[in-house]
Amino acid sequence: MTSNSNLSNMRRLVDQLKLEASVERIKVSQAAAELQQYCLQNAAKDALLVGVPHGIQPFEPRSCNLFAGQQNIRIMQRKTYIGTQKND
Amino acid sequence: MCDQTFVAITFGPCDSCSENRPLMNLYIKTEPINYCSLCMEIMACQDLAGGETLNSLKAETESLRKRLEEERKKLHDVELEKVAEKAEALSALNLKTRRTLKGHANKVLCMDWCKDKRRMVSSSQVPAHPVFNSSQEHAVSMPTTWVMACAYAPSGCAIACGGLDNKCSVYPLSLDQNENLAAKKKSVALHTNYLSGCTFTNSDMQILTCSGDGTSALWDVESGQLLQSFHGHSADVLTLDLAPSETGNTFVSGGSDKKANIWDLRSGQNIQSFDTHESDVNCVKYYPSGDAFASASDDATCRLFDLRADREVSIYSKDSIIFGATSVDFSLSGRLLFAGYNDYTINVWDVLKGTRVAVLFGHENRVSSLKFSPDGTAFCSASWDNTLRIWA
Repeated sequence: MTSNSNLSNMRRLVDQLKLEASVERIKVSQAAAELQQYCLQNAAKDALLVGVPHGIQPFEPRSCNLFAGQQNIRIMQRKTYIGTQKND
Repeated sequence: MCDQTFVAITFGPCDSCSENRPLMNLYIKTEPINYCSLCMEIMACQDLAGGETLNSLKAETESLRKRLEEERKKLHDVELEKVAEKAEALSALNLKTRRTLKGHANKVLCMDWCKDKRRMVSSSQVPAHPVFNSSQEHAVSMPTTWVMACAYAPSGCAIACGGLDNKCSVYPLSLDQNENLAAKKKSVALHTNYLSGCTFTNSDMQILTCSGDGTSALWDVESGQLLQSFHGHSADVLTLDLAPSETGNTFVSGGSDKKANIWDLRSGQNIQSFDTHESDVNCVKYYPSGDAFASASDDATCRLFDLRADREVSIYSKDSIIFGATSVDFSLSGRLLFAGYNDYTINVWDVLKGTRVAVLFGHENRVSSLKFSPDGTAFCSASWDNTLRIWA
């Protein structure tokens, strides 16, 4: 029983290695060039590379506001996408 | 014509190995047979040509392995760093902790973002684990400690989590804060050892899990049926990541056997395997284009593996970093690699040049999990210091 399962395990291993050996491969230089191209193409969209304009920092904790009520409401509206009491 | 309903056993003793495992039901000449997925694969190999002895097979594996090594070497004509020399150097990053979320009473083990970019789910060492929103928290009690994996459904309507209970359970979320979420829990996946990772596939209907029992599995959420299982790791599977949707139906998994494997979701085949790490692979993450993936390991390095070149192309390490890396994620463009370590820091690496760009301090214990928000404007790190930090 054990020799049978050993045999089938080995067969599985051989099949697996055959599969892996038959994979189509490209040169590292080409793969590296394509990785680099992807990075550079998308660099403009990456907020951490490009930097986010100071006023739109999405997770900045809402700063305490000493101004009158009306201005408070305006600031809340600008930052509604952070998350307000409204559920969605 | 009438509908037939019949009972299908999804978990129990396997007909051939008699162990309690998730079962795949099949019919051989109208006889129902319940085999566990491993026995199914072995059975599929049994009817192959005879005349093969154990020794001849061993010799064949050796020669195949050598051939693989040679094939891979032939194509290694240049290093990634050389190709990237002409790329512009990165300007200094200005990253700070913008928010610290302190709702947990114990080590935070895992976290995930919702596609709406505002909500997150995180899980911890003790039963209750909060679902964070900037203004609210839901806490879900689970009858087990060490919830090691959690994931948000793509629709944002449910979360999946699991850990030492060997199960992955799905909780539908509701808007009513007072509703008892634990009552609606649905057990989807059942493994024979702890659950180390879970993720929804492109829909709410299927979950991919990986477990300490050495297998990964794809489950149907509605019925709890095992759709496909993935055998190949020789030790615990610690992590998995689904390929970004444009590139197809594959996922990568990493395990304690120091290997990272690429699997085809539909056939269950192990397509490629990478074993250059010197210790457990704690986390794997696909590069945004889907052509490569990064891994973080207890050997204190992170490595980049290219799928089309079928080899490791870059290694991110420093002599001064001696603690294992627990988690990695790429920034939106793939230029930056963020890795959390057991020495409480997060290192930021330039993927192309292989150099370290920044070190982020702030956590007071190991960083257990690190994920970028879906729009790439911020990332969140979870730590054993009971907090989550959002950096931007």
